[in-house]
Amino acid sequence: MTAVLQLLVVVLTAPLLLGVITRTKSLVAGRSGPPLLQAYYDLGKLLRKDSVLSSTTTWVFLAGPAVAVVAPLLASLLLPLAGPRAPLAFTGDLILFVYLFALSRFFTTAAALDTGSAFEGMGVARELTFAALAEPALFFGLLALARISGSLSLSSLLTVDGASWHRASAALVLIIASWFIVLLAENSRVPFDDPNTHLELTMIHEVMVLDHSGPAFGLILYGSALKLFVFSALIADVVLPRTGISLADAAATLGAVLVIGVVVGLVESSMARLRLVRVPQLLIAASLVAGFAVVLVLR
Amino acid sequence: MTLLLLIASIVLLALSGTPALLTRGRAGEYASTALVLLGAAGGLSAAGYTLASGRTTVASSMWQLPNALLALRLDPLAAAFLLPIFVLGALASVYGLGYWPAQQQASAGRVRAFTGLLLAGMATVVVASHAILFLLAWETMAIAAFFLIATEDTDEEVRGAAWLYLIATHTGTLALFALFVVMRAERGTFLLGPVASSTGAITTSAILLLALVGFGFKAGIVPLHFWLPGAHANAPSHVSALLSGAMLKLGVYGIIRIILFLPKPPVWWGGVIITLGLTSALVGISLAISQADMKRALAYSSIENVGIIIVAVGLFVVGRATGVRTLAALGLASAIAHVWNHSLFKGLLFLGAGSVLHGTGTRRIDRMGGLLRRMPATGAVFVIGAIAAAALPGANGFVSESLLYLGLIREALRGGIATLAAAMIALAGALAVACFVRLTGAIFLGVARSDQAAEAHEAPFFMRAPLVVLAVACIALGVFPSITAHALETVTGVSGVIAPFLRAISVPLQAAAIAIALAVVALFAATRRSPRRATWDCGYAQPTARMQYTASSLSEWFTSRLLPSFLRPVLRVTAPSALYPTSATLSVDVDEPFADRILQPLAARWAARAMWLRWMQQGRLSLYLLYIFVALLASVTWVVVFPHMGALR
Repeated sequence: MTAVLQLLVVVLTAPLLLGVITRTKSLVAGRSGPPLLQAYYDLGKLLRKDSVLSSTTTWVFLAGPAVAVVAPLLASLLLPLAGPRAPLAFTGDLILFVYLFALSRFFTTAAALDTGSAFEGMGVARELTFAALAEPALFFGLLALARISGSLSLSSLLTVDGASWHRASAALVLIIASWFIVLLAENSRVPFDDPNTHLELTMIHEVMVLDHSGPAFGLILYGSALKLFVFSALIADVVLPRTGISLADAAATLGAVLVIGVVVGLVESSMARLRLVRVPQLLIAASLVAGFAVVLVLR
Repeated sequence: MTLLLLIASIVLLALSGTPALLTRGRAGEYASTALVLLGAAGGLSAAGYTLASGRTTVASSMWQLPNALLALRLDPLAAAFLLPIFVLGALASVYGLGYWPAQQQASAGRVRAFTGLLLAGMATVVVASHAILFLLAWETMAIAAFFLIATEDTDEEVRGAAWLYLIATHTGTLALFALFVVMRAERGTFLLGPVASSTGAITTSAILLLALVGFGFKAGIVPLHFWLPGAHANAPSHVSALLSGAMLKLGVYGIIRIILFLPKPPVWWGGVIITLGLTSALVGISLAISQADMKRALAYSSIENVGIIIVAVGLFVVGRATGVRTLAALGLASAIAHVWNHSLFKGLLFLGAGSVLHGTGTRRIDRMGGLLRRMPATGAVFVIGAIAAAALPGANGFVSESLLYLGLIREALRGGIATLAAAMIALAGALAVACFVRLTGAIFLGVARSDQAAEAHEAPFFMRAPLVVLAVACIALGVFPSITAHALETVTGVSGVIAPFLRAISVPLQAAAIAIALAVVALFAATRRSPRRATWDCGYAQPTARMQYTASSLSEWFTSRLLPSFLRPVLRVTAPSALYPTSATLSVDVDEPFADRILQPLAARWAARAMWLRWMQQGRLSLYLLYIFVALLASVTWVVVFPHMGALR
């Protein structure tokens, strides 16, 4: 039951997060902006459209969007979003969680290279390098949480109770800060990448999907909404207290995820994109912050 | 009985090259392949039985050599290391029918003969339980491998790689001589067995150090790896698959075996071994990303994987030192599982690279592209191999790495180096994704960058069949990881840790496999009738192959900005100068930093210093006979006169 509820929340509300970010940005800029549900309209339109394929592409090109949706969806089932235990939880599931995103990265970048386009190649080179730098930050954070909770499953590791907050508040704050940077980097948000930009030379994620159209592009859009939702839910899980009632927990998760969306929108409104050469420095800083969290809890 | 079957198989393998060596035609090759398949089947059943039953069989017989005993011992650990030898041996032999056929290659018989010796030598190394027999088998293996690496000896580069390999392997063997002498001094016999627990810390540390050096050369642990990329890249591809998939692992086997002989180790050994492994993993994968030659890139990735295995061995040592049996079991199980998995996917990748070389005639990544459409079968299995090598869920590499992570994170809960190790392995994993996306993308995706690539042809049946077998194995072990649970529990002797984890992880893995398959099929159906146009390329309608991102540009971000300068490729730029610039050049030299920037200059300096010894080398036979006579005289004098010296005094 909780599994169905959790799946429904993730599947149905993920695109809403994109709408919240866009709405926050337009409010800060003093515009009324597109409707909150714009991402749903876009998806509906894309799924109905025909597509054009590049003549150089093979099956790998189509595997990219498919894996980009499946991987974050499965990863969401490893998180305890509605209830104390995730639907697919097991001891050591944190490893699978991290590697599912690596799988998605393999296929989206391979799909981009399948077009033979120079621009998409640029995006691939950046995506691969930056993601590699973000990996230790994610892992250090998970290790610190594992140490705090003494558990190897995301379900118990992410439900941080009051006593743990009291004991390791500094470490937890560092983890959340580091993971927020990882969230921005992994989901290609400002200051790492500007989803609104139209200059291919500077883009990361958007430039890798230039050749996808129609349903394939719809899946890519949906996949990135899911990924953003899952990363936000990961942070939300650390912050939120748990009631044990699945409906209440699901609602709380959804609320917290949308709040994170507002924060992302505020960040995007208040700062510019970093120069590409500065990006690795920020990511290494995120790893160091998470590393400090580990040092604090090992003390 | 089991051991007898294994001995018969080893004899069959040793003799398997004879038919191909004696006859020129196709019949000899088929006969040789049949012998290898028969030997491998026998060996696999012996090893499989040992792993299934957990029984150890021993045999020994007197031998006409002084101090030697023909002692063999087949236990689950040995059986675990026998599997890759026989599986890859059989598949490489079949592959050779298409890749190195006697009609085209004059050296075909020679390659088959030495491959047989290599396989027999490797199998004997694993079951030898007497130092003399072990060293004889070790040298048979090493020298057979030398002749295999030097197959195309008309090429200067091949000869250089082969000599470097020979020097490295013999330096390692020297350390092994010392190792066995020290162990004999402790045990009083050359029979291999446990060292008494009362042995001093200095002796046991010396044994471990000698084992790490001697076996580390074979395993390719950084910084003893410098011979490996050249040797594995220049051997015929089916031999590379054997070298990388099976022979490297014997270095790991030696290290594990010696650790098991030693009494309860101190914890810091584990720390040292984990550090060595992490260095290998990170240096290996960093260098793999910048390679311009596909086989060298695969060889560096082998160094990374050996590093991961060594980290697992280090975890095993930590578990033994702290007395936590589950931790030791996780360490050993992940080491063994990764040995198996690496041999499967690296065998697949090297054989796949062989098919690419066969189809295009080049190993240079920057000359390829778009091969997936010219070689659909090879391309598809290469993608599977790349997923496995990047340790991604769905293929076998992920399963063994997640076992290692499980152990590392458990240990990290107590603090210490395991915390850093887990994060660094994660970094290496992310870099491996980058490395294999680059390889797959530049070789198989996009547009052909040269005429060779544009006119590439798919490999013949005998080359495709082993690839498909390996790809199916990679996926099967990745989606149904419980297959290996029983064998891993037999080897480690601990139950209740590995099997439950493998069972738990298979549910989401199977869900992922099914969901991805469904999504791909659905997307295929949706785009079946879609029109095909040129790549959009931001409105430029006539993109050419030269406008694609190349393999070097894909790795440029990483190599020129993030890599320590010591590991970067050497860039030689002549910038245009003066008011009317005339010419400019740029060349990238992807060398082996440890061999070419440290060892080479050092060796050159030593060679210059040793020049004064040249008068000894006159090239006249009579003079060398004189040397031998003098040496003989000196040793006779030493043996006869020396014992009486004391009496005289």
